Amino acid sequence: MGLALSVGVTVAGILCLLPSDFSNDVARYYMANSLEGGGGHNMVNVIIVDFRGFDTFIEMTVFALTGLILLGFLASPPASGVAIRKPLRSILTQTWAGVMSFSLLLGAIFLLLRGHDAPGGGFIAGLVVVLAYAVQYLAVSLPHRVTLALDGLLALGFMLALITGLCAVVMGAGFLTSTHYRLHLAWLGDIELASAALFDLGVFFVVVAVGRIFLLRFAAWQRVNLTQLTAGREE
Amino acid sequence: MSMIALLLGGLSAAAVYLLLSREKFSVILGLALLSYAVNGFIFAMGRLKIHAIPIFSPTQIDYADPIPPALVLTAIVIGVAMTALVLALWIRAAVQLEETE
Repeated sequence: MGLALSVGVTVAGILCLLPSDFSNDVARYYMANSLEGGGGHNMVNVIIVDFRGFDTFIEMTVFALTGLILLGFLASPPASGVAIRKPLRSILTQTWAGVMSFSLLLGAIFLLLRGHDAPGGGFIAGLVVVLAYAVQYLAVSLPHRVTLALDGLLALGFMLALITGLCAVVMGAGFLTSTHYRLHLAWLGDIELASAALFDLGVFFVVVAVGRIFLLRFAAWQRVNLTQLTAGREE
Repeated sequence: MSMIALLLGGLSAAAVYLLLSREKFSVILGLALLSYAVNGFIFAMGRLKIHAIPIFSPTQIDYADPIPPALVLTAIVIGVAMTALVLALWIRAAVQLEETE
């Protein structure tokens, strides 16, 4: 208790004592270069998919590996176990879940497309799609209907990001070097196309697939009454 | 700023308290809370400015530091993955111990 309080006080103290005026060279470099170098207005997204693209690639690998490990660990729930929650059957919820998840999917596409220039991007769009799955799950108890048909998505997203990175190597630049050019279309006006957006799409697929694995695997195992199991052991 | 400091201080205190608990699930919860607290801490390190989003626009004069949000965005995903992995380990271990008995 005392230790926890002292940690809390230390953290709060450090934050209170920060000098408010602060600027550094690294931030200034990114501010000066993300528009010309990365072709995007959103500096955070340009850093993630372009300047620090390799970091993001490794991070995506970690995330995908976690999904695969979970698939192995929680492969088959034991038959014996107490069902905690019965699936909900309500016409109102089911109808609204359809509308909700559809609009969530649209919102995810919107977030994905605007990610390079405005708040949005592959990660957040992926999480919104997982949210649509969660809504569907709450309404119609998804794990019993959808099996593992979509898990090739994990491989697809990973390969998309990898191939985007390797294209740059083939063209004689470093791994994940991005390029962009301004496309002029008749009615839509100028559109900025960046190869980093393809990488972002790969990240999006991986996040959707892994988030879905998290959701469905944990949902399949919720039938096991863990509190009963562990309580029985510790007594 | 002091409000954020208070919030993050409380969050990290709760996280450490849970981490030191004997319940296994509380330790996992503490780990998740600690990752949130650290993420918030890193974010606050970039100095919280009002009306200074790190997105270019012609009308804007002041910009926030874009590096902490980028770092935190990566850290959030890793934190989620870690929490899910530890949770899966815990579930698996509990079931395995039950079966061997």
